[in-house]
Parts: sequence; structure tokens; C-alpha cells
Amino acid sequence: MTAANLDNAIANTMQLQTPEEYLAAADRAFAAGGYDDGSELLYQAVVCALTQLAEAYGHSCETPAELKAFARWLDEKHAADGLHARKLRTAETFHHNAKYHFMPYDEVDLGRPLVNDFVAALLSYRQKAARYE
Amino acid sequence: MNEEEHLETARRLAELSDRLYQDGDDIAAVEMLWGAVNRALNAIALQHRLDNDGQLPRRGAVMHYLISSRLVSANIQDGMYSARALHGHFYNSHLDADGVAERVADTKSFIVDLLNLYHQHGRR
Repeated sequence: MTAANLDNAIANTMQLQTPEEYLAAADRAFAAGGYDDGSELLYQAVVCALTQLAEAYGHSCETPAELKAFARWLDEKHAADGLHARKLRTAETFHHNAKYHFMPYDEVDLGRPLVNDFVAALLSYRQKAARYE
Repeated sequence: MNEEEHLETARRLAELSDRLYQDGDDIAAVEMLWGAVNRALNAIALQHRLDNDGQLPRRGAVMHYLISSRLVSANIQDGMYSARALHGHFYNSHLDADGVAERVADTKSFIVDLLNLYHQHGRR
């Protein structure tokens, strides 16, 4: 993928507003053979889910450092032994792969459920958080 | 190379990675760690007869076998993706120092998990 194409892919994601929409767009991209677009959209699904959850808890997630800090906060909240921070790093690997292409397709396919499951976990936290708002 | 030789090479590469990392050569260190992951996966592939007349399967195929056989949890894969990110860093230098340190820790833990898995099942 060229830098211009990646910019276009990112621009197209601007219309997406929920983690579910990003995941659906990622599925469509992968189905069309767009591994770079799909990888980036998976990462954006995680960013969207973390950002929305952070807002529900009164945190900010506007920078990569804040995303990492919030993942660590979730680890402490859920006594998760670094699980959320590791999941965020896996998502970041997909993000970096969209630009640098260091993952073969079979390893991208193998890891997609991991990222999907992480988003699903974050969405379930969001539902619980909403009950206490 | 047989499975024990792959395993020994994995250990030696991991030790070499530690020394290089301590000496500040993080680029070489992460590539040694990537090599250690590959050797450990090769040993497990041979242990479980996933090779085709000595031809080793792809990493993804080994991980898929381990997960689908319920020998490991799917979450162990996060270690492989950290290792993969380090391999990408070797070529692209795209990670900052904290990002490297976190993934080095993930990958070392992943290697320990793979070595433990190997020893649980014994030589074929």
C-alpha cells in the first residue's frame, strides 16, 4: 500500500463512529484482500472502543500515550496482570503492519480474532460502565 | 537440525539477546529474540510431527495447531505478535525505547511458555 492509499483508507474511516462499524469495515477490507486497510481498521476499532470506554470513566484517550495509560488503568481495575496493555500492543502491531508490511497474511488472519475479542471485551466493559452512569 | 538442536539454539539466541540488550544494541537484540522464537516453534513443530519430511511448517500453522489442539490459550499469541513487532522494528526502527522494552518482556515470556510447553510433552 502506498502512503497515499493509506491516507485514503484512513480518510474513509472518518465516517465510522463505533467499534462495531470499524470491525465490520475491517471484515469487508479483508474479504476484498485489503490486508493493509483491514489491519488499520482493526486497530482503529480498538482505539475507538478504548476511547469511548475512557470517556465513560472520565479519562482522556486522545494520544497513543493516553491509550496506553488507559489500558494499564484497565489492567489495575480488573487485576488483569497486563492483559489489556498486551492486547493494545497486539493491535498496535496490526497498525504498524499496515505501514511497514512485516506480517505475512496467514499471521494477520490468525491474529484477527484476538483483536476482535479484545474489542468485544471492551464493549462489554462499556455496557457495565453505562449501568453506573 | 533436530528438535533438541532447535531448542538449544533458541536458548542460546535468547541469552545472546539479553547480552546485546544490556549492551545497548537493541536492534540486534530484538532480532536474536525473533530468532529464538522461531527456533522454539521449530522444536515444537518437530515434537508434534508437523513437519513434512523435515520441511518445517510456517509459524502461523504451528500456532494454529497449538490453539486448535487446546495445548495453549489463544492469548499466548499476543507474545508472538510482540515478537513479530520486534522483527519489524529490526527493519524499520518504528518502535520507541519503551515500546521495545515492553515487547522484549512479552517475547521473553512467550519463549518461556514455548519452552515449558515443549518440556511438558517430552521428546517425540
